[in-house]
Amino acid sequence: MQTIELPPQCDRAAAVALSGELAEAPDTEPVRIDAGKVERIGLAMLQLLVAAQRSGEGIELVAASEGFRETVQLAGLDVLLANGAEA
Amino acid sequence: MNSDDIQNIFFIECEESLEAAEAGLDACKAGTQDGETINAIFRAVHSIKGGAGAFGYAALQAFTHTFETLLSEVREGSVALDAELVNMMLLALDCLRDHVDAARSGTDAPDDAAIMARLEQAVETSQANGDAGAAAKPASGKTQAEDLDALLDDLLAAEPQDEDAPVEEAPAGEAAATWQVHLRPHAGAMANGSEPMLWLRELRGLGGECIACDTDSVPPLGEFDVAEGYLGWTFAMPGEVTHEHVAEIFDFVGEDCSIAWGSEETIPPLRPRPAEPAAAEPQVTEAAVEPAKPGDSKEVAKPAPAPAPAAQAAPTQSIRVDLSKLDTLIDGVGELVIAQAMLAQRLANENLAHIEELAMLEGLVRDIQEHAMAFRAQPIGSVFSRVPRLLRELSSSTGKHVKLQVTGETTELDKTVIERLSEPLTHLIRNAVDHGIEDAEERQAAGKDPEGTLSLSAEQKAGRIVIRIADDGRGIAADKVLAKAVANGLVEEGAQLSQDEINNLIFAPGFSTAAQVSSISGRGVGMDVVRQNVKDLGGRITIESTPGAGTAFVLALPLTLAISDGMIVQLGDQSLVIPLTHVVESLRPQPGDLKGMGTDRQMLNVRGRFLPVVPLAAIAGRDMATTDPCEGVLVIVETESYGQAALLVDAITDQRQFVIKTLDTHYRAVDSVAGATILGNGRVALIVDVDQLVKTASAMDQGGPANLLAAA
Repeated sequence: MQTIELPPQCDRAAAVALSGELAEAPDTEPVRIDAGKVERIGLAMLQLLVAAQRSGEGIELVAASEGFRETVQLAGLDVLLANGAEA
Repeated sequence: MNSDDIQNIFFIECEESLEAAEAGLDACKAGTQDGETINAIFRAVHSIKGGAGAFGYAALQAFTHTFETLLSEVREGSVALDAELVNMMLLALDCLRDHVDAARSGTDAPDDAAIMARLEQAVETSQANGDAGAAAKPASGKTQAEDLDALLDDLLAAEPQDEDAPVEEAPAGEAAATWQVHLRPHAGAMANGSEPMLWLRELRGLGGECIACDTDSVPPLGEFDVAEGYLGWTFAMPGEVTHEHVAEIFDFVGEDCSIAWGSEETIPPLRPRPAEPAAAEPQVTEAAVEPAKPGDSKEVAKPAPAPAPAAQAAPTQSIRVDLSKLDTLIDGVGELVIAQAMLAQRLANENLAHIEELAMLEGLVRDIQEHAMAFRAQPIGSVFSRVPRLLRELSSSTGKHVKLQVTGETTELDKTVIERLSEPLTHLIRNAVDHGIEDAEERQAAGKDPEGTLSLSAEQKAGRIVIRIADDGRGIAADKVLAKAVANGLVEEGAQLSQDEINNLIFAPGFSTAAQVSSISGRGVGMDVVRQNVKDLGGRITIESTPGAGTAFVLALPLTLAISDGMIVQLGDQSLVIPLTHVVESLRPQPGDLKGMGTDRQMLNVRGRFLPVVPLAAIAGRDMATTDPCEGVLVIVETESYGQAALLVDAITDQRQFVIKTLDTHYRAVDSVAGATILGNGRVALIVDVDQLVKTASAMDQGGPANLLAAA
């Protein structure tokens, strides 16, 4: 199973790169996302993750750094922290 | 435009804000302490804070925040503005400038703990005093954000009210409770390197809390566009936070984010239909403008972007242009001037020199050139405005308090000259304070005001900009300088030097008379560099010193570095250019107008005044040229320090604009030659450095050991 590791700086450029990877990922299983190294994450990346979560089999968060959790909570996107497919 | 460009604009605006704040504080120091002045300072600091927040410079933002807090207390009148406070704020401004520099260069933020503490203390002192009846002020232990919240409540509540200080704009029925703000960033919000998440952080910093995030609009991956904004939020803000305080966060956002206020509203839709931006926008506008209605000066300083164009329709509009583009234009204009001269020459050969079209073309070229040069002109005030800070720093390191007098700060000169001027100017000022101005005790003993005075002036004079840096200190001690020069082997023992020559010794490399080397000056690197800098600019530096009364350094600089008017003169088979700025008149003398002096010197009697005749040929080494003034033409020139002189040339052939090309870069610096230019016929002509020429000529005539020095 493929795991995509998010870079420390998840800015718009990183989101563009990730969108390419996500598009190629097989949609028969959840995409594993490793957010363990994330220091900063921007809106572009956040909404991309939301989009990924509601596509195919969704995403599976295998790790989440403090920075990632903090920003996600700030944005009220706790739904991202809930592993697996969307409700 | 990418985010770097926008950041650069932010830093340029920071510079402007810093200057505005400094000007305001200086006005305060000088006694102008009205509301408008304080407001101007507040606005300046506030706009730096806004940008710092938008770009995520936390240290800068924190510092400006503290500074701004104090300023708003001052504006409120709850902190009395006395001299001590103004000085402290000036120090804070210096620190702020360091912060901006650090943010720009990406280095560590300066240590601001001490000044922050002083700023906070000033605020707290005010809050401890005379607070009765006002809304509860925050205790000193509170966080900055809370401090400001409380402060803004005070600012904006029309009258002090009960403890909860309900805000006038709070939604009905929610006086002390929370209120809601809804926002939805659009595509543009992420486009220019800005990051909507930072706004959320600021909202949270104000005590806001995300109560809803609208993810419904996020499409599945197949339709996902990274550039688009899909999320929207509702934040609950504490009751004591005002709308306009929140609106400030979005000062820099413009139309890239739709905002709606109040719990009855909802998160604005994803892509507003054409009609809707108009509906959404006034809401922002309204929130930002409304508090102005109470009509008091306590208003938030910066209007939101939307009303700004109407409210602050500036009388002059400006655009920012990349300097390199401007320089390309100026280079092109230079070539155009040469091409025009060549065309004129060619037409003259065809006997068409006086056709109307050529005169028209010449007029147009001249107009274009003047306008192009005006682009580069800047008031020298931008250099002078850095001096107060320098004096403050010097004051703290030397203990000498120095008053500053500035005149002519609106004098304009070329941008390059301005940029390269700041270093020599700084050095001269350091020198003036360190060496020139005495200690307070010494000054009192000499019957002077214990506080020294430094005067800076700039004026346009004879086509040059003359800058004077004068102190009222002890003057140059000629005997000390001479002794030192002898000790250093610069001058032979027993040489007789004039006061001027002695003064000029301090420009010799490695020369310093300072009794002790201080951290500021005295290492003997400097004055020679200063002179070199000024020379590189095509300028000259002279010293006027009166023992016991002070020293003045006078810098004479060219207005522009590129194009000038000149008189083309003929010497044998050579053409030379005399800059027109020096030329007073030209004449062919009668034999009776000339008086011989010594063996080979002649003086010219011009309406009763005698001027030395300087044969240009002798200096330029052309022996084919005429030596009899009655055969040639005398061009009377005005010099900076040697009065007038009459240059003897064979003939005057033309008067026209010329493009200065320096010899230094193409060959090497040559005495008495200011540069070279290309004439219409394609030949190179040297440009005469009139001052240097006359100076050298008079030194030769007088003889003496200082010849080399004078010519150096």
